[in-house]
Amino acid sequence: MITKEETLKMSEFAKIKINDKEAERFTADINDILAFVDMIYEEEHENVEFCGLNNLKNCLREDIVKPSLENEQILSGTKYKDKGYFVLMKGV
Amino acid sequence: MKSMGRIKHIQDLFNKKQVSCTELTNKYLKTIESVNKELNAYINITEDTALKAAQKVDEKISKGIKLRPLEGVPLVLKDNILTKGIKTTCCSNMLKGYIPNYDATVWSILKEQNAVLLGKANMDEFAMGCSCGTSCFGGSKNPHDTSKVPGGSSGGSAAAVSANIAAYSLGTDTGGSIRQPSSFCGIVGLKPTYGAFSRYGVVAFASTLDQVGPMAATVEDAALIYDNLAIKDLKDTTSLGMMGEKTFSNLRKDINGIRIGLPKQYFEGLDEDVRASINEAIKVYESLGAKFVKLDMPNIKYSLPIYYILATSEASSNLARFDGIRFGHRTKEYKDINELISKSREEGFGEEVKRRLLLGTYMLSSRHNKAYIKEAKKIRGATLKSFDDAFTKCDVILSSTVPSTAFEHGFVPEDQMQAYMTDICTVPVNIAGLPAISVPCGKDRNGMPIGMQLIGDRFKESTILNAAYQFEKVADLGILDDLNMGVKL
Repeated sequence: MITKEETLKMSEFAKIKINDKEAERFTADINDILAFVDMIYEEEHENVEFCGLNNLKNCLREDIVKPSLENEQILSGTKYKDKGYFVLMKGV
Repeated sequence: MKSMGRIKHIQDLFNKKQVSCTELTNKYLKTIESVNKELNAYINITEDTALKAAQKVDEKISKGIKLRPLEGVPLVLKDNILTKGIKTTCCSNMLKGYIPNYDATVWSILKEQNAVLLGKANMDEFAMGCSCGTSCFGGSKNPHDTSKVPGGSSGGSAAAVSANIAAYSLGTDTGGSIRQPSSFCGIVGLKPTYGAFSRYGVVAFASTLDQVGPMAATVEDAALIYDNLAIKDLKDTTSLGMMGEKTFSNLRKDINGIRIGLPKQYFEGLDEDVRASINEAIKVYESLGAKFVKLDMPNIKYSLPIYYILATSEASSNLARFDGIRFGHRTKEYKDINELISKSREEGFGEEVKRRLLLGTYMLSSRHNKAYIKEAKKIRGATLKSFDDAFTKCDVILSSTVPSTAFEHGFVPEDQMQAYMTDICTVPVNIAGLPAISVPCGKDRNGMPIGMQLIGDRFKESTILNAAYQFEKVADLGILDDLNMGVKL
């Protein structure tokens, strides 16, 4: 089961800010789900290796440069941009 | 036949010059304007795009050029399918106002055929939900009873097709999100085999479970859509296209002797009216010469718990891209990069998405919890083997799509898992990557539709669509005939 402190830790890993009350609420919800999920341990399962669906194999393409998105297209998803760059804040 | 295929009928109207594509498109747009106020099935109406496509179709018709199979037919797309230049929001505050700069492959195929895009459909936020209620635009309503949900996450699509304010839709299905709302709204919903349709340009929830599929008024419509969209796409390296037979030309094949598997686990916990409808459906298949095979598939009961391990883990990875930097919502005030990201995500994501991402992060994070994922993969392997074994004994597996019918808006579950139990019949199919179709098979005592699920072996869409079509023809239920709010064709 998860504690409230662990939920807050998960929110740091997931980079989703949550407050104390939310942490309590999510802890209760997640524990409901974990109580259900724990049924997978109620018996031994056949050890069948899962190798992915459809026997897919990883594949590579030829290392040939192809047209990509234009700089303008890449920046089109945000208003925080300047001179062809995404704008953040001063890091140094 | 009561259940009339809309796609061929619409093209027939065009070819006989009984209506032009532009006239029909305007009719749909006008009807959407009034009906959508009640149903909230559309969250974006694309009038200009629709009419431009309609005009091209009318030009072709005036020159006597033969229409392609989906040409000129009005549709709505679930709002997690990217449409270049047209807002695509996943019904999340994170992507409100986001305009993609490329098309999903499934949409680009339809666009090339001058399909008439009427708009984008309401959905649960990032496809996480089973009522359409987690949408940032408010939920949609079930046309059969507007006090009830249409289901989810492709709820808006199901409502629109059911009411005929779209001839068909494309939805997505990760744990049942095409089939469950199709069952609730009395339409046909097909989740193809994993890899049949390209996922390029479809916002990812869980990459080993997601699949795009048709939502339509009839099995014939679903077959036409499948045959045109099951294409191998180099931009999605998990796509394989149509590995089996074409479906439309096989719909009318005689199914005498078909072996129908009935897993006992799928007949537990059903509502009384759902059980009665499924039993009636079994009798219809009996009259068509089907043979029944009793199956025992104990691994099925673990599909829902492993789904909540695997889907949430994959989602926590997939939704990590929403950080407020390159696209999507960005918080206004922050003191460092960490705060920029975590406050943007706090403000952008809704409650259900946060819950699943926290759970997924938990599943991935600690040494103890990696055991969850290892065990889940083991069970997934065993589940695939169960289905493989089952399909040596039968051609299709029959079950109800959902153990119950549509529930009321504002239903408060006793605990978190009760909210998720509606997916119990659909989830095993995604775990195994198989094709499955939901077909209306009756109504409950309150007039709410009931769906029957037919599951097939990998790339055997032709078999399940053939079985579904023959049922639809003989049962002739006309589930949508009482609805009068949409376009009369």
